[in-house]
Amino acid sequence: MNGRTTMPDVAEAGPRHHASSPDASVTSCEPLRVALVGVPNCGKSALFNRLTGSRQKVANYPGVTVERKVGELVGTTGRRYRIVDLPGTYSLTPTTLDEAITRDVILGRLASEPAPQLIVCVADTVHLPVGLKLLLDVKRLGLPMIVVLNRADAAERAQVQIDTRRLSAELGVPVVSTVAIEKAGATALLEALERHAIPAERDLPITWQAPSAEDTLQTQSDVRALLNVCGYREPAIKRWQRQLDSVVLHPVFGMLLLAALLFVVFQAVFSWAAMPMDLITGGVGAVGEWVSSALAPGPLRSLLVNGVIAGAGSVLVFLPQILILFLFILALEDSGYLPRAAYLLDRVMGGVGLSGRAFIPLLSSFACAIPGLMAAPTIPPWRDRISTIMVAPLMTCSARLPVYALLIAAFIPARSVGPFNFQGLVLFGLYFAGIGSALAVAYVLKRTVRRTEYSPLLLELPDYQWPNGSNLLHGLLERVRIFLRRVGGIILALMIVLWFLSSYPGAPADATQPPIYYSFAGMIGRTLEYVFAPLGFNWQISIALVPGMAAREVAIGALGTVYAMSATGDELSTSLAPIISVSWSLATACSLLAWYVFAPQCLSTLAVVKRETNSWRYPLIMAGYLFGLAYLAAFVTYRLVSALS
Amino acid sequence: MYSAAEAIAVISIVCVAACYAVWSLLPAPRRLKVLMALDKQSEGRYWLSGFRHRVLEPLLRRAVKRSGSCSDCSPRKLG
Repeated sequence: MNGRTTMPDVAEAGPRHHASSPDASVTSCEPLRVALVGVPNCGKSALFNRLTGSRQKVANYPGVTVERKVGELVGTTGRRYRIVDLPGTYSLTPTTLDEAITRDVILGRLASEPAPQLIVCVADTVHLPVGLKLLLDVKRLGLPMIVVLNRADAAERAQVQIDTRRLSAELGVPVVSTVAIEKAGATALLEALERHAIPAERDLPITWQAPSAEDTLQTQSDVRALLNVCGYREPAIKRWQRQLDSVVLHPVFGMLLLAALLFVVFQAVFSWAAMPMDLITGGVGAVGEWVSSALAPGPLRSLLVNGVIAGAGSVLVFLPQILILFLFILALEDSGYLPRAAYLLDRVMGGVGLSGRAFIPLLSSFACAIPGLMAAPTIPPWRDRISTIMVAPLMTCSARLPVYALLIAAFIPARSVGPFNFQGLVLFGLYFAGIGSALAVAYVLKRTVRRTEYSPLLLELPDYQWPNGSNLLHGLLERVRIFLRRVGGIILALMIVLWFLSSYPGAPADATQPPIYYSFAGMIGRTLEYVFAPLGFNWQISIALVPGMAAREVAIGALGTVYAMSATGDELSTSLAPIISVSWSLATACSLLAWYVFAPQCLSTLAVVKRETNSWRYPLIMAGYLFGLAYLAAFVTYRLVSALS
Repeated sequence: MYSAAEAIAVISIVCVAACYAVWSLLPAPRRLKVLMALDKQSEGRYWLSGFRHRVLEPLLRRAVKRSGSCSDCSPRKLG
């Protein structure tokens, strides 16, 4: 789309698509039902957001966890539109649940969704051949349609050429160019919508047959012919991108690069976060001292100092480490590296029965298992999907990071091993243990659950680009918001409840132990100690594991509260690491680390597994096998470290 | 007097925290069901109209939104 090409904003087709006057449409009371259809990552959702702004509702299609986005739009002529953003698909022959929903909505097969009257087929101009195949599939249904060539600006930069007038004439439908990410980028589409006559209601559902292999070959041939006729010229792939891909996608060098990248990430988590963590610890301590001096001794002061400040403060201190981890993950995602890593790992993951597609849900599970589980339905074969769901909680989620960071800081010396930080090495090892155990469990599932169908990996590799600073900032702010909401919400609430359980009933007059020993929490901890004693866990750890069921990092806050309450007198104990380093043995710390690699300590995760599998069977199996693995790993670790030390 | 007020404040804080923790730990669809049942019960009772309008409606809107996704996690999906 350089100066030589003819790409007007709107290219109109012949008059057969304007059977009635546009003015007649204005008088209609019912909104025109419009569906946005396109391949994944063509900018369809950006276009949807541009058109509907905040006037949109997001829910699920009934019975499935496929997102349903519907928005409203009122045109300049007063015509109303009801726009539905359908899940991205490469063709009408579905390979995933999302794609099946798209097909069914278009064909009018879905009872819960009224059939669209007009299809807006969105294609990425830069990767037009991919989008044209779907476009031809949809066009063959004979539905009223407008074609949108999105990312016109990127196409111009990449010197893509296409004659849109000719394309419109060949297809027999209006073709418009848009830049969905720009404020006025969808004007041409709005104008085309306003000009489009209201189509007549059609008989539903539309009859459609899955194309045969010959039909698919014919479509590919039609796409090539259409591109030739319209003077399409592919974007030139930059030489440096090809050279970079030859290394990044290399089966050996690519894997080495991936391992090195992950290694650097975990080194940075410890090396860069030290100073901000010290500042937060100092700040929390200062607030605690100020509150102690401002209030008279009593239950309110104890609640604020020992419950709220000591509990929430001991979790808050891990914010810098979480942010550094996500800075790297978001930068790798934005640079276009992650899909390449998925491609690279497809062979490795295939060996243990996982699809390369599982890489993205599993990577998301490093943030939290829940978005990972929710992304799993995009993996088509049931066996691959269930394997991914079952191993996703083994990926080290960000809630485990505070536990790891606390125990490493308390027990692993902060010294260098060659050029590396020893604490960073241990953290890398723990993450690696999570990944390794996930692959091992997947392999066991591969040997026990029968394969039903084969589904090849289909991925679009985006161009490399420098990570966008604004995207990174937005992503990090989102993580800060989530973390602070958790600390200020569920963690704070549980710390207050735990403070109550740790404070009442008070110690008897002839008490020889700290008051918490005689409290409700002390009683629970001493009972649980019988179960966890073989793992080297004391009653304080046993107490902390209970509220830790809500979220793993809550256990740290709980330990903060329990040890603050265990302290003689009423002094503040926000720095947990020095306390546990003298209270626990190295074997106990290692055992707790091993426990946390496997522990099924997240009720939300189990609830989401139940929802995604629509059965109690899988969450129960998951909780059972994770508990068994955690107990076994912690027991073996405790015995081994005790024997060695 | 002071210690009685302090005790009441502490008990209130602990009760609110316990209720909030239980509510937060309920799965989103269960929360939606509870809210819908509350809404149905309060229907037609004019003296509860303020509660329905100011408390229930925003909670219901939020619960409907979240029943399709995780309440604690970012809607952003990596990749």
